[in-house]
Amino acid sequence: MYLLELKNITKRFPGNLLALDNVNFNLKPGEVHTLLGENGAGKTTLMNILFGLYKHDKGEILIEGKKVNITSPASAITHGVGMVQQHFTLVPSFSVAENIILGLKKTGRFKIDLRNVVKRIKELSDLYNMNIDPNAKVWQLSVSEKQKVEILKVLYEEAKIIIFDEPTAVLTPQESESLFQAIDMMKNNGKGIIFISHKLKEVIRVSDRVTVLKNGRIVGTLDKGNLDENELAKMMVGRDFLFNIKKTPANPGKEVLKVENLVVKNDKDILAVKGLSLTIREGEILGIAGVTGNGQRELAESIAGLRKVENGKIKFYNLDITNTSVKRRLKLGIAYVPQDRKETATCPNLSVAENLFIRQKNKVRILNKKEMLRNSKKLIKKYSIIANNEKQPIKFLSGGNMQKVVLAREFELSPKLIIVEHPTRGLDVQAMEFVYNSLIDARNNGAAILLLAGDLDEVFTVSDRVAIIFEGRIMGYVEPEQSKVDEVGLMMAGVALEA
Amino acid sequence: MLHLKLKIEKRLERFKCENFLISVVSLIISLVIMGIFIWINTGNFADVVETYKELFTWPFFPELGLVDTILKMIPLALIALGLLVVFKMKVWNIGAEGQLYLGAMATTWGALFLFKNMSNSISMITLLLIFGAIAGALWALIPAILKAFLKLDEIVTTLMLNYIAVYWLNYLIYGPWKDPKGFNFPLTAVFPKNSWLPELGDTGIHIGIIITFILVFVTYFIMYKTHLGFELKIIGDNPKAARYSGISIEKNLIIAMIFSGALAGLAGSIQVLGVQHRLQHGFSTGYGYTAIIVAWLARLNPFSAVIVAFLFGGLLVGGEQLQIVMRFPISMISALQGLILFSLLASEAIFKYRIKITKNDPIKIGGEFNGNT
Repeated sequence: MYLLELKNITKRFPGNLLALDNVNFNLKPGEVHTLLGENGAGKTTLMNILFGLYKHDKGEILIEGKKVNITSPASAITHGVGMVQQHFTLVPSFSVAENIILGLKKTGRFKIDLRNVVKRIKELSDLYNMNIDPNAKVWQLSVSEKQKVEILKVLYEEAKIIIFDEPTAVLTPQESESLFQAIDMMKNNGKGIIFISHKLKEVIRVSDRVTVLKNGRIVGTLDKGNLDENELAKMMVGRDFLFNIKKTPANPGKEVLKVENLVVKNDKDILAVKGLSLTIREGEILGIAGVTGNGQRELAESIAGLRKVENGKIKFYNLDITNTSVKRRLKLGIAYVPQDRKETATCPNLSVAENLFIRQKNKVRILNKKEMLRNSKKLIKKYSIIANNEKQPIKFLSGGNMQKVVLAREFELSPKLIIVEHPTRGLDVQAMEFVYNSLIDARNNGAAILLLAGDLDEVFTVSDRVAIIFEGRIMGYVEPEQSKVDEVGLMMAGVALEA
Repeated sequence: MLHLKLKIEKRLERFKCENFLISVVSLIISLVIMGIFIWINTGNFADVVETYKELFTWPFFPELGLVDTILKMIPLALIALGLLVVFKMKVWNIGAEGQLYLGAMATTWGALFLFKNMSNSISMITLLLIFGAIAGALWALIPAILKAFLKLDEIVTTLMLNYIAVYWLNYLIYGPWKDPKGFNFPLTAVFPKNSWLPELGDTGIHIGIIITFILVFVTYFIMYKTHLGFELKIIGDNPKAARYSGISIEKNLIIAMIFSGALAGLAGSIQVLGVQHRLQHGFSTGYGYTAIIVAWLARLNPFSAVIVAFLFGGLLVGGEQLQIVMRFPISMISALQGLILFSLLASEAIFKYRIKITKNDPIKIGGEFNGNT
C-alpha cells in the first residue's frame, strides 16, 4: 500500500495558465521519492497543494489509502504531512523549543510544559545526529542549524510524509551530506520523503525513485538502479519537438563582448559565477546550456548591469563596462530580456505603449504621448502583438504577447549586444518560432547574442556555438549538432570531458 | 441534487468611471455610518437630517461659509498636490503636517526678523513664500535621505518629524517669539502689513488661490508630461522594472520628497501670510493629515485633488458650524474623515473582487460548501 497517492492533480492559475496537468505521484513508506524539474515545472505547486497552501482544481489526494481533504497547512499536519520550507519561518528571538511548539495545539491549553518539549527535541536531535540545543535562541544559529530546527519541527509534529523543498540551496556540500544522512535515517524509520531539487548529483545520491516533471506534466519516473545524470538532464530539459528554422551559417565579425574571470554573487550572497570567461562576436549567437541555478541568471544580470561584479572584467568593444550603470549600457546598445517578464521586464499596471517605452537609449525630458502611441501601434503591428489596443494594461496580455512586447522593446533599441534569458518559457509553438526567428534576424543584422536557455533544444536550434555552464564556470564548448546532446548532458552534470 | 456555490474571484476587467464610483460609494457609506452614530448619540433622527442639512449647505453658500471653505481648500489642495507626487511612487509621506509647520516657522522668521524692514511688498512676499517652501523641502529631505541611503521606513520617520515640528513651533511661540503685547497668549506679533498676501478684490480670498491653481497645472505637467513623472509611475508600479530600466529610485525619491515638502511648506507659508498674519498655537487643524485623504480620494489626480480639497474644506467649515449649531465636538468631523478613508480603502479592496454563483461541478473540490437539498 502507498503512504501517499496523488491522482490526476490538475491546477490552473488565473490567466488560464496550466500549472499541473493530470499529475500522478505516489510514495511508499521508507522511501525517498524525488521530484525533479526546472523552475516553473510545477514541483513546488504540487507540494503546495499537498501541504494545503493551494487548492487543486481536479484530482484527489489519498493518504494510507484513504481520501483526504487538505485545506490548510494545519490540516496537512494533522494528516501527517510536514514540509521543510525553502524559506525559514522561525522567530529569531525565540528559543529552538519555543519555535518548534509555535502554533502547535498539543502543548496544553494554558500552561506550556516546556521541559517535556525540550526533552523530546533533545531525543529527536540525538536520534538524527543533529546536535541542536533546544534552549539556544534561533538568532544564534547558522543557516544549516536553522534548517535542522525546521526539520525537527516537522519530526516533532510526527509527520509521516516529509517534504524537503530544495533543502540544499542554502547548504555547503558538507552540510548537504549530513542532511542526506539524516534523510537516510528518517527513511529507515519508515518515513516517506519527498525530495525536491534540480541538482542531479544529489538527487542520485539520495533518491530511491525520481519523477521528472516538465511544464506541469510528468515526463517519466526512474528507479534507483536506472538513475543516470545524463538521462535525467535530458528528461528535464529535452523537448520531443524540433523546429525547422532556416539558419544560415554565422559570419562572425568584431569581438563585441569579452568577459574575463567574472565572479558574481547570488541573492543569498553566495558565489554563483566563479571566474567565468567568454567572448561573443558580431553576428554570432552564443548559447549557454546548463541546469538552472548554475549561475546563468547572475551572469546575465551582471552583463546587463543589474548585479554587482565582485571580481573580473566585462568589456564591450574593448571598453571596460564592469559595474557601470544600466543607463550607460543602454546607451551603448546592450539589450536584455530577463527571464521573469512579469517581475522584472514589465510594469503590470502600465499600458502596452508605456511598457514599450520604459527602456530608452536617450532620455527625453518631456514626453511626446502622441508619438509614443503612434510608435506603439507600429510595433504592435510589426511584432503581431495581440492586445485590445496600445492603452491596455500589459498584465491582461497572455505570456506570449507580453514576451513579444519585451522583445519588441529590446530589439527596437537597435542593440549591438542582446542578452536573452529563457526567452520562450511558457510560450506556444508559434510564439517560440517567432522568438527564434527574431533572434536569428538580429544576428544576421550584426548583433551579438548571448542566449541563456533552460532548454537544450532551444540552445541547439538557435546558437552558433554552445557553451556548457556548471557551477558558475564554463565546462566546455560544442557545435550545436544533435549528435552532441549526450556530451552536453554529461557536461551539464559537471563531468569534465577530455579534449 | 443541485449544489450552488459562492465563489469570490478577482475581477480582471475594470469598468468605466470605476474610480469615481468607488470614491462616491465610500463617501455615501461613511455618511450613513456617521448618521447612525449621531442618531444613537442624540436619540433623535431629526438631528441627523438637521446635521447633514447644515453640513451640506453652510459651507457652500457665498453669504455663509463659502469664503472660509475656499480658505481651507487652499492649504489642503497644495499639500495634496505634493503628496500625490510621492504617493505615485508608493512612498508614504505622512509628514506633510510637519513640513507645513516648518514652512510657517521659516516664513515667520523672515517676516518678523530677517526682512521686516523690506519696503517692497511683492519682493518681500515672494521671498517669504520661497523661504517657506525651502524649509518644508528641507524637512522632507531628512526622511528622504534616511530612506534612500539607510532604508529607514519613511512612514515612521516622517510621522516622528511631525512631533518635532509641532514642539519646535510651540517652543518658539511660548518662548522667544512670543508677542510681548500678546497678553501672554501663545502667538507671535502680527507681521508687517507689507508681508500680507493681497486679497482678490474685497472677496476675503487671498492670492494663494491663484498660486494653488498654477501649481495644479505644474503638478499635472510633471506627472503626465515629463519623463520624471513617467519614472515615478514606473517605480510605483514595479521597482524592479525601474532598476532594469536604469532608473535611479534614490534620485527620484529625493526629488519627489523635495517637491512634496516644498508644497507643504508653501501651504504653511501661505496660511500664515494670508490668513492669520502671525504664527499662533494650533494654526493648522491637521491639514497635513487631511490632505492625505484628499490625495487618496482624488486618486492621485491633480485636478480632482482641488475638487476634493474644496469638499473637505467644506467639511471642516461645516464641522465648525456644527459645533455652534448642534453643539457637536470637533472630534465628530475627524471621525467622519477617518470613516471616509476607511470606507475608501475597503471599497477599493472589495471592488477588486466579484462574487460568482456557480453550480457545483460533479468533482467536489475540498468541502467548503456542503449544501443539502
